Amino acid sequence: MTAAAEVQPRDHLVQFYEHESDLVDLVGGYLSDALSDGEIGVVVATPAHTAAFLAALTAAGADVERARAAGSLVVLDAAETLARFVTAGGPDPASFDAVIGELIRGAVATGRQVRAYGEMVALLWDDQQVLAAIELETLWNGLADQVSFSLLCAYPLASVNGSDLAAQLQHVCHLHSTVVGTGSDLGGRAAGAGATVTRDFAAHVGSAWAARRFALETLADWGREDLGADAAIVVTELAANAVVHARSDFQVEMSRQGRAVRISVRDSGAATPALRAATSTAESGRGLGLIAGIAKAWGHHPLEAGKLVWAELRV
Amino acid sequence: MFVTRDAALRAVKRASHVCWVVDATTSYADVAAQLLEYGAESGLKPLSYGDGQGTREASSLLASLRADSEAARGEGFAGVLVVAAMDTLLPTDSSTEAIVSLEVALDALVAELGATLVCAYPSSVFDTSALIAALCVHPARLGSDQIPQFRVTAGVAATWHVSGDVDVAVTSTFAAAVRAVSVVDPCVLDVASLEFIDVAGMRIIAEAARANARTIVLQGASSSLRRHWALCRFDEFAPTVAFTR
Repeated sequence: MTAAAEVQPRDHLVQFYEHESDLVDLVGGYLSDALSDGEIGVVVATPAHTAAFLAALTAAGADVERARAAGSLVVLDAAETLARFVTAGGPDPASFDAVIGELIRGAVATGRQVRAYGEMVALLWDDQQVLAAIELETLWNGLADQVSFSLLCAYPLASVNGSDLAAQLQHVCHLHSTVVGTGSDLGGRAAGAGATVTRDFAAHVGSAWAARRFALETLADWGREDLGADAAIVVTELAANAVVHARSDFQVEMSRQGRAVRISVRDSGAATPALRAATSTAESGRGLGLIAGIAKAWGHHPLEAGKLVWAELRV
Repeated sequence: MFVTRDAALRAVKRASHVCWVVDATTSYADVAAQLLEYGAESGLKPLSYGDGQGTREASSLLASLRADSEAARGEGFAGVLVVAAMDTLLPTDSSTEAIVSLEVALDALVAELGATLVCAYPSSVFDTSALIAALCVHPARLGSDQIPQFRVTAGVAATWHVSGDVDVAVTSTFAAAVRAVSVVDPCVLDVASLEFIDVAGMRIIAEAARANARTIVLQGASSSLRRHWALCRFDEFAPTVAFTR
């Protein structure tokens, strides 16, 4: 599986790769799609990996030099960049923001989607600075709370496999929305990050209860019971809209990235959800108003057959 | 669902107002006789309502229960145990609203009088939605493994307990129950055991309060319910709804 084709804005993916070729294939595809789609690719890697990625891009038909000159491809040395914000005490948040935050915000300000690849976390892990690696992952997630971009991180399987840092590894997985290429030895330690789960429901009034149970059970699996009350009402309102108004079977997708949990409901109804003015005397149309008040962000877009409505919860 | 004598007695020991769903597996006459026998053994006056001899007017049914309870105490009984054949006591085309309204009134009256009332609903007469609606407004059930998604039942001091989940599947039944309980002013709803309520459910409460400028007190509401209520601006729409601990 290549994650490149499935990357969405605000995805935070992590790959545990066994062979260098696996890494080059994945990152090459990830960056190639970015350039093809008019997005900006940001690479923070070792010189050897950078050379391999650029070679892969060239082989795929990309004009690497032109892309770099146009600012569509930004390349940084992982070790040199780390040195700019990591001290003996670990990553400094302010310096991280000045170095990485400014870079990403500048790219996002162009109005184009941004895909970043970074292996600074792997360098820290290999240097026995595991807590620093986790802190850096957390800083990346904090940046993603502010600006919309996708991030792919990568760790060599040999660095994390068989180590006595299973709890820390699990923590790393939980900081990501998707784990790619777990490798046979990693097994269940990385699996079960369960970043995206979906379930289909029939167009029946009883499905609202079932969808709510699915959402709550998923949050419990993720250790995010704190979002239960809000998630319950969000998924119930969207499910009810599907059943009552769209009269449609529907699918609920729960996905997470860092501290954010996104609830998406697909149905076959064509009507665009409208956020009515929540006047105090209005007797109807408050469901989406409630979602807008609860969610950190929400939206909708048409599908080939129907629509998708989503809401992102975050604490 | 077949009803054993033990199951029947457990039901009336658990609560004073029982919804008995009677199906073809159980003899109404046999179970009714067992319940009435238990009533007599417990110092309660056994009474049977229905069987073609009862009234079809809800107000008359309520009046009969009150009068019979008072008479029984005058005769030295501790109270009454009534088995009521609801198919002969309710109009044949009774709506969910009518069933819920009557049972809410009976629930309050049973609590007031200290009576015991078993309401028998034949599944051959009442459809599934009617049976579920009846189950929602009884504190105990017999002859059915259908657990109502929510319940509204009479508590102490004119308080109504609301428990379970209120969503699109039970909107109409919940609306009927809220309308029935909010005839008094103020109406106190203990919602501490309400696990979930959707926007439509909240709107039902808000509209009941707003309709006649009635005060509805939501007692023991979760912080989530309070927050969702405010986000929907129901605090502005229905300012006579108050929250208490």
